[in-house]
Amino acid sequence: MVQEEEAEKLEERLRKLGVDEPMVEDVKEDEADDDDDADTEGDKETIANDGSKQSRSEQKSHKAIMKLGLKPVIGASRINIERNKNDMFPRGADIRLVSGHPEVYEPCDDSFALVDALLADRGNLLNHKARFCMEIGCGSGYVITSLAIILGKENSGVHYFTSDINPDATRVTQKTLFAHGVHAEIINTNIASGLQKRLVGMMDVIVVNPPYVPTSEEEVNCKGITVSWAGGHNGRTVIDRILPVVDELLSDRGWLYMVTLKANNPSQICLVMRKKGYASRIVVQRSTEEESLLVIKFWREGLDDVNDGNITSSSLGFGSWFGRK
Amino acid sequence: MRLLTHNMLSSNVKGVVNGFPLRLEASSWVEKEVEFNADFLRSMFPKIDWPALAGAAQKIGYAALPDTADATMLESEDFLKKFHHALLEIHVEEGALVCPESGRRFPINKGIPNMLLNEDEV
Repeated sequence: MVQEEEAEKLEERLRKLGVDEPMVEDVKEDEADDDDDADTEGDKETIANDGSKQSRSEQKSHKAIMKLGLKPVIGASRINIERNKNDMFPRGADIRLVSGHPEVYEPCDDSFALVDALLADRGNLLNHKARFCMEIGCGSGYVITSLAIILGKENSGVHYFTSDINPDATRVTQKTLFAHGVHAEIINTNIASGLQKRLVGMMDVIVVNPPYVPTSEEEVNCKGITVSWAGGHNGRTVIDRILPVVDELLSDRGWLYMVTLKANNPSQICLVMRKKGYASRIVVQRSTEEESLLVIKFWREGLDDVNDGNITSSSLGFGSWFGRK
Repeated sequence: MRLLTHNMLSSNVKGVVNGFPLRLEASSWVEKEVEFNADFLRSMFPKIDWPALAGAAQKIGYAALPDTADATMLESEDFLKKFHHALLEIHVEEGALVCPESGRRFPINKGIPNMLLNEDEV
């Protein structure tokens, strides 16, 4: 009952924020300026440290997240609000609160795209009544914290696990979660090693922002922040290790949300998953100057009813699906 | 690390056949209140290795769990409360998880178990 009220409140807030818009977005950088509701106080500083601007949907999801109670302390490079223009180290003030680490990937366009996808699919997620959720490769903790806030805290009976191979990332994630009053069990491990046997078939939602950047295979085996992005040949080496693990961990009704790059050959990833029995659809599609990102949702075929009646890869045939917007 | 997680972890060292349950060595732990959810506990019960949970709870001085349990006990509010406390409210902060077969120690620091393997263990 309490949960339902909370869910209704969430719905109401998000309705006001206008998040109930088309699932598939294709936001170009040059469209980023025309957001008519962009200028709340939270958006005064939208210039990221890398000089790029937030896209419209990023701003939208950030606002939504902040309204849900996320304090503006993580993702300092993008969410930072009260930044002193004279500050030589603009991230400092925020990082003190939640801890950053030079070897930990800070939330960036790909992280935002994944959270946007979760927000876009929020209605389905709330109805999904997940018992266990997991993020593989939590980095700063931005995504798992956002997911925990989107789904509501533990009073709704959802429990979260998260893993990262980088010990520094697990520490930062712990602080990020704590700062926002949510909890996830954090395991310092490679993908889900050590959890795979006992957690088989238990995850209702898995989110992954994998290291997808095409690199040499040597870089894949580096330590520190490199593991957050080095994806090997076609950016697929780590993705191809993750997919069978996800297949094991997902429950019969489990969903996977994964970030991919066009260069990863996402249609081929969908084919791999299809052979394992999964249907798929694009939840968020976003092109920036640097990269073209897709967030794809996978679920076991035959359970299409939970996906708002969207046409799926299984019903359309692969080629035609992938070509549609 | 909650005892729920202890119950879900097993030794991932190459060649280990019987890597569960990991022996819990806890030097510090805290208790944090978590909202009670009977439905969750009932649905989790079949997935929980009871002797592993009861054994781990005993290691940190929580001896209220029976050595064995079956599904009929889930009708008891008292049992559920104890199950809830052991599973979710005890957090191991410092210690180690020890592989029952190889003796390999997986450290727990600041509540995070480290299951990373060396190259020769993969």
